[in-house]
Amino acid sequence: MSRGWNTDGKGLSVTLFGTRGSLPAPGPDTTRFGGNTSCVMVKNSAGQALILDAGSGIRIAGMRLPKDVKRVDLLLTHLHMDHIQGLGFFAPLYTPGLDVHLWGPPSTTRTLRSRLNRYLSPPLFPVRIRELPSRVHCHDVTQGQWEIGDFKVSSSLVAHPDPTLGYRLESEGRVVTYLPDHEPQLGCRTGLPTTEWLSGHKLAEGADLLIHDAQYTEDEYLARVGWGHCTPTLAVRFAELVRARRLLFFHHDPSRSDAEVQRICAEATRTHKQGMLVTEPAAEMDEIKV
Amino acid sequence: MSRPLELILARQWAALLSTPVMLFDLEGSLIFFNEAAGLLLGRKYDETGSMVGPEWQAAFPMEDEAGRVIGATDSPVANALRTGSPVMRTVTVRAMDGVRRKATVTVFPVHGLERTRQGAVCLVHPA
Repeated sequence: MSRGWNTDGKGLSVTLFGTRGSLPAPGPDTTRFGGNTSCVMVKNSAGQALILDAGSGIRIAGMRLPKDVKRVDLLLTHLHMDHIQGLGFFAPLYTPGLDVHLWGPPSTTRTLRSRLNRYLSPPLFPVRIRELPSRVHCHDVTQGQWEIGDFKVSSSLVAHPDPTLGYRLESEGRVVTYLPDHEPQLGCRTGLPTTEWLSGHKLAEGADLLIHDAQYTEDEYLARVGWGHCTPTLAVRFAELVRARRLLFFHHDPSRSDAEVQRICAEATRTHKQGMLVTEPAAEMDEIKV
Repeated sequence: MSRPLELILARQWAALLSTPVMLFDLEGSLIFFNEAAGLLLGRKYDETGSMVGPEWQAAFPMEDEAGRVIGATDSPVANALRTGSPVMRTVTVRAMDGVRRKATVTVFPVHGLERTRQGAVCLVHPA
């Protein structure tokens, strides 16, 4: 489904190829919001595309890229399995000579390439990065700003176990912020801290579209503090604090049916009192105009 | 302004401790202290807010064991931030409630993921 706001012919197109957290969850109960794990493609009106994360949804994303694409950029937030498990099935990696740029966090002792090699090597996977026919360029990034084509990319570490980045993508005057795994409330006894002390604030400030973790219900969160995830209600609070215009609830728990996703996100939306924020659950294969 | 995640998490950690903890940024500004440190310093963080170096050094001067005021560049915090190494020292704090309190401070610099220095954490042990 394609819908959105941009009526001037410019702006960004955001396609959701995977919206699920933790584990793929295919089946009759997840057909509306999808079962594939995190993968989002952001495209500008010139056709330049950036791909965010390599969950199982990246298999379809790779098939949607133009056959004559000259360069592919994939931005990884972190290396938990649900964000990289589709990498070995990303078609551009098998295109001879194609430049594939992988951006993501190193650890304190290992580069991004070295960390990815732990997955893309036996016994977990039969093909090593160095054996791929494409030209793979790995870029260690933590916090900073750089340009990829017409996109200005900003990244920063955010609250989630192990080195984890959030991304802010700016192009054609629009801002998309991607915080799929985020626990900004960690350690706060009541609600969220002020913006000065709010993880992810600078990345999300004034975003036209904020894609944010909403994995747990309030009750589930109480038993999973420190696991790195947020609730839909706190995602609304976060969006209010950063003055985002539109919020997509993302990283749905694999145990959650479509009806449950719809219900908990609707309940969270009702807590928004100011009336300025547009919210909805992220649904696989939706294309959103920003 | 947003703080680096390393300092955000340090603050959240400190806020849950009964050990007095103070948090400093790279410039040596006191950007947070927990409730236990507030008891030692004689005021709560909610009352003072952040204080740049000259402010906190004037608000609660530290003295060495001979009773001399420790200068700004010689403070444990300044030393830890300058050298990148932990510093431990026993001092007397002229607290903001007018009481003098002896304490041992341990200051360790916070090195981030890319080994960049982000600030310093000061643990205070009442002597």
